[in-house]
Amino acid sequence: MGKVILIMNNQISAVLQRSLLLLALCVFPVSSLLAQSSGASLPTLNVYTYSSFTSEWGPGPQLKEAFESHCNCRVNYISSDDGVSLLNRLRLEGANTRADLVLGLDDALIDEARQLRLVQPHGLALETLALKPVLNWQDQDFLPFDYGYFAFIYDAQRTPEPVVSMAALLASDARVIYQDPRTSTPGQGLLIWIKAVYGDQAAQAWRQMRPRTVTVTKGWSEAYTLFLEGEADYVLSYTTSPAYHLLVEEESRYQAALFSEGHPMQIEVAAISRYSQQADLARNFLQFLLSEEAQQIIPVTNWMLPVREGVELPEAFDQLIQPQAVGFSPQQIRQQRQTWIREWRSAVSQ
Amino acid sequence: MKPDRVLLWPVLLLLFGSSALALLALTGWQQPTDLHLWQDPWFWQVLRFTFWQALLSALFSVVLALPLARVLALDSGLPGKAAFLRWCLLCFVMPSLILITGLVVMFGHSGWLTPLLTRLFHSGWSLYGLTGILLAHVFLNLPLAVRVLSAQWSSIPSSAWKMAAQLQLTGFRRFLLLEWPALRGVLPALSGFIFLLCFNSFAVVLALGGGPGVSTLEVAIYQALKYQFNPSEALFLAGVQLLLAGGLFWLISRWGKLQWLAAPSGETGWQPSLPGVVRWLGRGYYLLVLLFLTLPTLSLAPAVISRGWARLPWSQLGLASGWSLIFALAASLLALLMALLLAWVAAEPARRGWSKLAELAALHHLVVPGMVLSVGLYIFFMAQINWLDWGWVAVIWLNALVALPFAFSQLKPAVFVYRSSYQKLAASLQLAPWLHWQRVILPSLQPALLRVTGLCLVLTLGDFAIFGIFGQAEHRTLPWLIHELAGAYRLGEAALASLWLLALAFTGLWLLEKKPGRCRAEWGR
Repeated sequence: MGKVILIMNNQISAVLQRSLLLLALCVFPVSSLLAQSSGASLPTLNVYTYSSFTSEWGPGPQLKEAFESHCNCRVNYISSDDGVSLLNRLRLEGANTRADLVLGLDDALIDEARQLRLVQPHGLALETLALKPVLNWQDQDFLPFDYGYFAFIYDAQRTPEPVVSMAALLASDARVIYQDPRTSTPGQGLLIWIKAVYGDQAAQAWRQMRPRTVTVTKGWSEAYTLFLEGEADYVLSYTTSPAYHLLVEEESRYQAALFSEGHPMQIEVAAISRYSQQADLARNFLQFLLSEEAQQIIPVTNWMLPVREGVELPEAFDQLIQPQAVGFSPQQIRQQRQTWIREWRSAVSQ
Repeated sequence: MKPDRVLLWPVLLLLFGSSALALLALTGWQQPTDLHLWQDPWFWQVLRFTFWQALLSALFSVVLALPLARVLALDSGLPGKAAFLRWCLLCFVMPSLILITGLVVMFGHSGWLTPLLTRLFHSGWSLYGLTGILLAHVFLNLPLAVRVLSAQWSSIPSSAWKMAAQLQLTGFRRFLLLEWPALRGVLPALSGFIFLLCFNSFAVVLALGGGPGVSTLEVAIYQALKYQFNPSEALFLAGVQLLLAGGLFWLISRWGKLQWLAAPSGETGWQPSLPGVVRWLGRGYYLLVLLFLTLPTLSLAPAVISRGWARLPWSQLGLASGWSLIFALAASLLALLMALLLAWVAAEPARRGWSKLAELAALHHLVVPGMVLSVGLYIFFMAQINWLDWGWVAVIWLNALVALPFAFSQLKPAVFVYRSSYQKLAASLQLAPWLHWQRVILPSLQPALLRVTGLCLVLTLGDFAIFGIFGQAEHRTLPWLIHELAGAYRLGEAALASLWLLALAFTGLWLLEKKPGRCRAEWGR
């Protein structure tokens, strides 16, 4: 036995040793980065938003740099994975929240956020902001910072003659991928779309959609990936998607189909937190968000449309389709969403 | 008081406390528990389907893994065995974006296997539906089953093989008398485990299911907690899941008994040589499974690399990898230490009550949905703790909790074997407790510990949900970066970053699983 122990001792348990070594190897480069992140004692503006806004390709970094250059402050982003998680985080935190500014809820969530008393009036005069008339914006708490229309995207090389209406899509033999309205905002957009176009006949329309459907995904990225892999003729996305392909990939084959019934709109909004310690700074950021400078950054990073009139954009944006808006008010959406989801669910799972 | 008991109390307190506080926090939130779902026929349909697909997935995964596990354990000349087993672990945590795209590239509408399959199945081939779900679940879980079962097979000591040879036991009789007892202990728990994993599966089921007709209970929980923020409904659903899945798991695990009392030899000793036909059949099967497990990823790689390479944010990727590794290693070590302690207590035959308690503490996190746990703890400590500064502690702790059941169930047989065969012998040496652990226990458990660390590491590297609640943008991890890339149209880059995550995990496993001899030469004394 003594010998056995000696042998074992020689190969002393390598688990801890090696794990610690791995840990040490990666702590080193990261800790050096940590050291530089502690800033000076400038006032900090905590902006709660969603992650694709703050990512390197999103508008976050550029907006931060531009705003910090003249605000004498520090902008600190705190990101959730999407707008819905953002609202939940605020709801959970209540009065304990550290948010000064809430950025990235959409119009379907406005009513809920207001009811929960999470925000305060923005105090800006709407008529001075040069907002696009199509938005018809009257809200005293929330301000829009970009918007877009939901649309079906197709590959012009494979589908040279796209459908021109929802009715034509449902009557066609095309293969469609869309997102689950229970877990994704574009999915919810389609729910609103079908309801706006078909009203009481919505269940019937969903039943027509069913044989067209390849699959329903949890989120936008799975659906879009499947589409790019050639699994479907149409995928639910935004009218602005072709602009990305044109500008970043110089690829013009992906186009949005213009539907004669109109398209539902999604408006992304920002507001000052009710519990903010920096309400003035937050108001300045809101004002900045609607400035010409910021409105030029947002479309080519967040791939949505500017809310301000007369913003100069790359040419790719001129080629986008210009749909009619259809839809419901935030109040109607909040009240009806559950009923609509149930209707969708039973119509497509039979 | 014994040293293991001193540690046991705080660990038990933390483990049960976390779950209790999380549930408490959610129970106290607004409305009372919502029961209307009982009356919804859709709920029953979902439940039926959840059960059915999980049962089929578990069955296929285990049955298909059995022959391969035997080949891996007994065919000593099999090429690429170590790398294959490592790859197996990666498949088990394959990011869903990669998995879904990979399967689609092979089996989808314009997949390159589809023409063949359409000819094979006269009714026409479609990936979407139960077929796709089963394919994906077998892809995810067969590798786990292979690893567990082949480890079990190779734990049969060479003395037993020799004895069987002397008694001229061959074929089925040898299987029944020698091999089956070694497997019987793990099969029920393994199947139960895979059943549970598939029961909780979500993104894959939605993407490949073809519609909401085929969704799982987890979708309902996700929806209740995330999109409607209705904690009471989420709690009700979590309760149903706890009751059904947990109950079934408990039932299945009870069938399994750890029968094999002889010590595993560690080094491969004498094993019977397989007859030629069996060996070549086995190798053919090995190749087939190898293709199934690697082709979806490999066929993705060229396109992904050509599309994503140039625009991949390398500096961000490096930083995110660093954070991912730190969180994953810390959580893995924590899970490993807790699992070791609990397995130690659970394997003590004299104290049945304690043993059951330890087992419950380790395994119950398998059926408490991670989302319920994270959100509950977040709410509970919100007023006291500034999560902006301390979120990383929760990221590590909750990841450790998620990995714990896996670590525990993998470690328990090894600890059990040690305690039943060496314990008394070692006690007679009268070593001091610390020396006893350092010199005897840890070295003898080393292979199992390395395996478990690898598993934990891979599991925690893939975490997305927990980081989504507690993490901060400046500590961005790899899965989070992939999420950001995918959300910004950079799907090629996202896929490439996913492959990078796999490569990272593969390297980590390779470092951990290097043969002790070589490791001694490099780092040891």
